[in-house]
Amino acid sequence: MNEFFEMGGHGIYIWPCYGLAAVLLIGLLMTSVKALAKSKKDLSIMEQMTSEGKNA
Amino acid sequence: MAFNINAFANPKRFMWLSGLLLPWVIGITIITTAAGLYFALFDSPTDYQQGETVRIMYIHVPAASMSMIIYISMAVASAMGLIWKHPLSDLAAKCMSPIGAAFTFLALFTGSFWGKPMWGTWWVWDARLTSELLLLFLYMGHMALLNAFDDPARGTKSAGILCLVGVINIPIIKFSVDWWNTLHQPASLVKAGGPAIHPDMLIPLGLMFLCFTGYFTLVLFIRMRSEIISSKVRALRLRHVHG
Repeated sequence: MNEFFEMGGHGIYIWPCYGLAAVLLIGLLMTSVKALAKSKKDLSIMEQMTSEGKNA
Repeated sequence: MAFNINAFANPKRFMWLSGLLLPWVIGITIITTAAGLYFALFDSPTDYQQGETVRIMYIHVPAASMSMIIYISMAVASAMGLIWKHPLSDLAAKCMSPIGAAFTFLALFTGSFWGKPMWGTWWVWDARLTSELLLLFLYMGHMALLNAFDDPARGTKSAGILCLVGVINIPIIKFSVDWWNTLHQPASLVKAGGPAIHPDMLIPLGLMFLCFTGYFTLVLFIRMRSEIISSKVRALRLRHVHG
């Protein structure tokens, strides 16, 4: 197992690349998903307000 | 009947179509990520010259390709937005630039971490590396310009023009290794005579490329859907205030 992580002595160069790829891509995905969830929530609030306004 | 791309440029139709495609895009991205990482880390040979560091290639090359493909897509979307004033094209360009910037940064970072053990240096100011760094600045300039004006339409127009002018950088990146002497190796995949790389390395490379393409499509769809819903919220808010 250790051998796998050492990667023939080049692990210190290889793992940061895979690590950054994971952090960067997952981070961007999460912020995008969060923004989508927020806009959906805002829309449902606005739609509710609009229908309440119509019924009032 | 001729295929009419404008028919899909309607926000309502885009929401329907992207909603339909999203589960497939998620599935393809997950499968290609798992398979790509398995082959890249466990089931591909070491390079006879570079040893294990060749595994950096499976991130570096697809990320660098995506940085250019996304920029070209962004330029096409910007051109469509500038010429036909189609809001969905402008929206697509806006949503693409953070994804493109992420892949460009990843390509530069992994290149640096590959360069140190193989070339003995983290960075050289040669044509390939410098033009790729310029690409990162173009993405950042695009994002900055979009938010630089009180009137969003002016920001969109300025960012679109910057994007189109910056397209000249793409062939410079691609052919820099042929036009100038550089530490960076010449093309070994997209070149005349076919790829000069062993199939055992081509498989993880192809899978990681599919994984990044799937990821790009997925995040683009999510960001565009979010922007469309947000603009609907803004319109409702305005109607609420004035109504």
